Amino acid sequence: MLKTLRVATAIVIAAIHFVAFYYVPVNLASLVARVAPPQVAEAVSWLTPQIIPRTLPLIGLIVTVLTPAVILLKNTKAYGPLTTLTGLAFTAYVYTALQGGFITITVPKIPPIGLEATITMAATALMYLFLLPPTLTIVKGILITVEAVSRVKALKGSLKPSTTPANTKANSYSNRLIRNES
Amino acid sequence: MVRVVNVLIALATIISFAVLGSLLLSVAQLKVSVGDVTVEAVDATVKVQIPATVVNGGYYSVSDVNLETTVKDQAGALLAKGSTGPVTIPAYASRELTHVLILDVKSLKEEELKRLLFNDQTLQVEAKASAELRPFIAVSATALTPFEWGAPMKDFKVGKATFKPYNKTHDLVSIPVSFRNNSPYVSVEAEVEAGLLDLQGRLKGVGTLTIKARPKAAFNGTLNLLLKLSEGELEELLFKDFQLNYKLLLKILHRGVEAYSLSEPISYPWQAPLANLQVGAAQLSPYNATHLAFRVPVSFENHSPLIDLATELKAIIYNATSGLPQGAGLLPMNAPRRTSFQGFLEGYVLVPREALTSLLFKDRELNYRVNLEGEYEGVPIKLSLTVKRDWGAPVKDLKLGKPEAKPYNATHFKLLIPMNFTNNSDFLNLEAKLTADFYDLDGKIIGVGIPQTITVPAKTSYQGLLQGLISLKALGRQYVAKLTFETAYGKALKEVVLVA
Repeated sequence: MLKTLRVATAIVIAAIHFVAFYYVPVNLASLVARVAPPQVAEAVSWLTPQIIPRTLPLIGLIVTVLTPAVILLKNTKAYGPLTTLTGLAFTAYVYTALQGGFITITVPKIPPIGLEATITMAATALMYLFLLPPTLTIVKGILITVEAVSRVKALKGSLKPSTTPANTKANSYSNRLIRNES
Repeated sequence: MVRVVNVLIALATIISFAVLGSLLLSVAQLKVSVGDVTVEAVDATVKVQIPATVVNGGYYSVSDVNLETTVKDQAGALLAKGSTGPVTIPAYASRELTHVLILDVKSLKEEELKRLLFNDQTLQVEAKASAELRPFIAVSATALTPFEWGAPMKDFKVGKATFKPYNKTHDLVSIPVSFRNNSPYVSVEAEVEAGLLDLQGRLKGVGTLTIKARPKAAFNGTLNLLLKLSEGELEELLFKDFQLNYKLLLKILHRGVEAYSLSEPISYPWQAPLANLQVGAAQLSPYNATHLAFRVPVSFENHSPLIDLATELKAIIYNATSGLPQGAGLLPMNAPRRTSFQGFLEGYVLVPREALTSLLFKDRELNYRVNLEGEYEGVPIKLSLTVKRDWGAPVKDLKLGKPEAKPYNATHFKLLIPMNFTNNSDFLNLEAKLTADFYDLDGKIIGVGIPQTITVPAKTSYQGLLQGLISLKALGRQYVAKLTFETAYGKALKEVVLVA
């Protein structure tokens, strides 16, 4: 039951992330064109390549793959490293999306007045703010990994080979636990 | 520990999106409205004022608002500059801002000003704006837009100058000036100060012209200059065709401050209104007892394309030798532009009584100096003519033949003396009372002539007899006949030695 719920959650999250981090960035111009007036659609069509870097959808795809994986592989050995990877992927996504904190938009010549403009937005503080959750996710992943490794080490250390019946019983419990963990 | 991190992640995420949301809302509630642009000209500067109202309805104060604009011409020269800021607009507040763009005409180089005034061109307007929504976003923008500049004095033309006599000392020089105000924004209102320099660079004339042209309107005006002339120059202008060459210096003043100056060569083929003045031979005719009628043909060509000469010149006639005034006359002139004139100076001259004896018996040449004076539209016209006239003596070659004596009474003989002469005058009929007195060589009167009236038409010869009574004592001796011709103009004496 629990597994089924987790799989369902993973699928929903994957779908949401796919749409938010991959589909929308890739198809932004055409999506806007469907609902917005032609002038806005045209503006978005030249604005999109400048505000959405080429690598962003790819990173979004990685995020889309990693987030359900984290949900599905919770309480396994891979949970900690996957959480770290997800944090890293989000960090990369935020950094790429905000273009390192400096977004430059070049407005092409607008006929008939021939206006050309360059707009630079320094959003480093905002970027750092948005980098905080993925950074904490990385920390979380590292903590999970460290905790899991230390727990395994502790268990292995306490279950040295023994001939006593009690030890034998304990060893077999420990081995089972480790299997479950993994 | 992981749970703590989870809580932190959740908090950070919520805060991040809350900040993003608030930023987006703040930007959405930031409104800028631009008012009417005004253009104000003070002295040599033009101020373009752009008022704006910024309403910050957001949650963040908009700080460090800066706007800097520059206007450059086609060649990249800086024409105008303006800056506003830094200004901070607190949250939920509004602020009135005025961006002032200043064009200082004085700071522009001549070439730049020339391009701006006379050439349509594409100006480059660059605006640099920046603002911050602290501490999250700082935005700066640079916009470059072309601005089609219509030259306020496009096709500025100084037309062909015309020169016209104005008064005793000045010529009126009229120069058409035209241009088109191609600017849709700027009204042209200026004074043009003009100076006319001769080829040596001496200022000879000045004038002013007020120019006004609404946006997209043409201007056509005439710049009038008064050109100072010396008497000699004025006289030359009356009688001689020649090329006038000057340099026109124009200063365009805006509110009394020189904005631009330019110079143009001015060349004008002056065509004299009294060209090729010819004075014919004077004609004389009897008028009255004291005067002769005087008529001199005068001709000239009015080459001028502007001047319709219609005036009357008064003449004073002088004896060219003695310099004494001899008479007066009038020369009516009516010579429309580009026509020839033929007319007569008509007047009266005194019969020179002091020289009557000489004039009656000898051919000679009469020399007169005629000074003509008048004015045309305030311009003085002065002429000095020399008029010559061949004078034919009315009693030329007077000859008395061999006297024939006839007894008259106990004391006197009657003398019959053949007499002939020619009236060589071409106009004067001789009408004279001829009397004679006879004297011996000692000067004693020995006889008298019988008075007679003789009439001899012009250019005819006279043959007649002079009759008189002479004392018997004079017979066979030399004596002198003193003849007196008494004419309407006076008496003339002639002495002839005879032997009876």
